Amino acid sequence: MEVQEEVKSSLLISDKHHPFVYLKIQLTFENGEEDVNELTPVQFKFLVMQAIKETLGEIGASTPVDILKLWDEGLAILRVPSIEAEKIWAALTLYSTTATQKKCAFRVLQASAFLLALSVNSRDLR
Amino acid sequence: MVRFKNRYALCEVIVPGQENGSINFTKSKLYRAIKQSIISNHGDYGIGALDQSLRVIYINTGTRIVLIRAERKYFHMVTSAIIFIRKIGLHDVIFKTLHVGGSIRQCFKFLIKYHQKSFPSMYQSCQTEDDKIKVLESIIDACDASTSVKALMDKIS
Repeated sequence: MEVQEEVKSSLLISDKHHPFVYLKIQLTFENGEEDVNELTPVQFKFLVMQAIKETLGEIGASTPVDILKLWDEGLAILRVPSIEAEKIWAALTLYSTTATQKKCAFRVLQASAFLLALSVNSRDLR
Repeated sequence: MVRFKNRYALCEVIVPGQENGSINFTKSKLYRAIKQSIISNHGDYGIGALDQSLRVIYINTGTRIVLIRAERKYFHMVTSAIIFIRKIGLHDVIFKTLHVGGSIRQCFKFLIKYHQKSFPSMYQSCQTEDDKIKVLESIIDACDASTSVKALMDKIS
């Protein structure tokens, strides 16, 4: 058997700067105080903006955050500019009480620079 | 050892409606107004970053000049927050940042130059002869620049 020369392999996805980061988030309420399925996209966005305003203030809240999709059980895909992504991620994580004193939490399930990457979650694979 | 780097902002407080009047609020009132503005504009993150280093160093009620100190890394938050201050106590105010410097000394050097530049307009706006003489005397005093920085530095320490 011949010994093959060392095979160099590399996988380059992209080395460019990406303008956006996509976050898959889930909103949960403590003890089912409020039904997340009944939330409208506007109400959901309001809660996201509340979270950002609390930790980053009015100037932080001026960053363009878009909700691309809202499913049942409070699952949503957020698009944020990559420069502000960590800050907004942190702001979402720190949010704990709504304006009506209900305890809630944003869970960031997945984050990626590519929207396609959110289509599958390796943690759900069997 | 590493030096703790600060930045200093020299601001003029403009009171709308009375251009040459004096201001009457204390250092602590101004500090609270700046703090409140940082909380509303930069949130918990902003106040967490600046709470340690934010301080009002100098306030001159006659010339309406204030000097604010904060950590260099997050100083952009202070400069953006102060322009949103519209009220201190019951007074309407507008902040105009004249100079941003790395030390108190540099800020005062600028301040002296800034005041010297305003002498000609002061002289022209004089109503009486006595006022004109006073301004002229001030101009002569200002020519001796070597002592004036020291005098200002002594005043605040």
